Amino acid sequence: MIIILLTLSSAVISMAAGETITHESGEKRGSITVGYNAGVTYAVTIPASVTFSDTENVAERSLQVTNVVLNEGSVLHVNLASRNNFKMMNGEGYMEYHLKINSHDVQEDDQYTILSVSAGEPSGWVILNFVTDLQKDHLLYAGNYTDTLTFTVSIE
Amino acid sequence: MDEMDEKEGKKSSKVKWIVMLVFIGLLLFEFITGIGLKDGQIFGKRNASDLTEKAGDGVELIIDPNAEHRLPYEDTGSFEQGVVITGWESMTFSSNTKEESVDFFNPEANAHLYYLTFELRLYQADKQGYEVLYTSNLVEPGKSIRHITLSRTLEKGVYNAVVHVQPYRMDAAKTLTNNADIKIKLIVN
Repeated sequence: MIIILLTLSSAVISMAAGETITHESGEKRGSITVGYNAGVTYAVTIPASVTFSDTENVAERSLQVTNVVLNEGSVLHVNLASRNNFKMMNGEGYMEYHLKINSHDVQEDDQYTILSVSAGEPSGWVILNFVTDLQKDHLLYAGNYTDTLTFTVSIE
Repeated sequence: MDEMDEKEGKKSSKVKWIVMLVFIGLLLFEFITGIGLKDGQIFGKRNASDLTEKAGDGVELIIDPNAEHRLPYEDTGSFEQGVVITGWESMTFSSNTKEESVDFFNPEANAHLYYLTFELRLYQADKQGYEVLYTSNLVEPGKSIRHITLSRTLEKGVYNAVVHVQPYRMDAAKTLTNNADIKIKLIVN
């Protein structure tokens, strides 16, 4: 009997140490705070490559942002930059191309912002149309003409 | 009367067996020869050179078996699978150590397609140049780098930094693809 009482009293002491206990009319009520701290996260899916052929002067690609969790009031922006200023290069030879979104030419003035997603929106996407006029005036050599695109993601 | 019924029953059973055997025979014939019925028309196994269709005006159109896809599969536009990259808004480091915890993750969605490398860049105030604090090797899909060693310790403060993510194709040449810059606030306590 003594052993049992000691065990119970030690349990009460340990509860009192960790939580707020209110004693009312013989009842014991405890309260704890349940919470979750959600960090800012997102996933962006970028096109791996853009390729033109002799017969196709438009290459359509998509860019998606998913699983977006932002602080309230924040906006996620995706901007596009070209290593060669929108020229596919091979040595000094090149072929120019440009970007269209919804038939609108994306210009340097736009800072090449291609997608914005506001807090509260879980996802966003855009279709990118890369267009070249297949002008071969500046093609000096046979071979692959390439450029590399960088998609910059920022939260403001 | 019962005899008559019994005889008719046996006769009916025989007919069923014959129908079943004929049906099985037809199936075997179709299986062996490749000739059968479909949509009310007789068809047979055909080679690519036999692929003949009749257009509305009666002209025979033949699919040329020598024709090949002009572009690789991945270059056919919307079918290309992009590179999935996860992002953050900030990272928190300590001022007195070069050993830091991060989560440089290559999602499973890139399985069999892309490796990722991660480079932590600290941008200078004028934003004209940057200092590389850390560069990873190739990270396989589904794996993450959790601990890194910086090139130097940092003083307390908030810095503009970028995690440059460069994907590489998981082919023999490991060709690089387009890439992403994830802008972050680097908080050093």
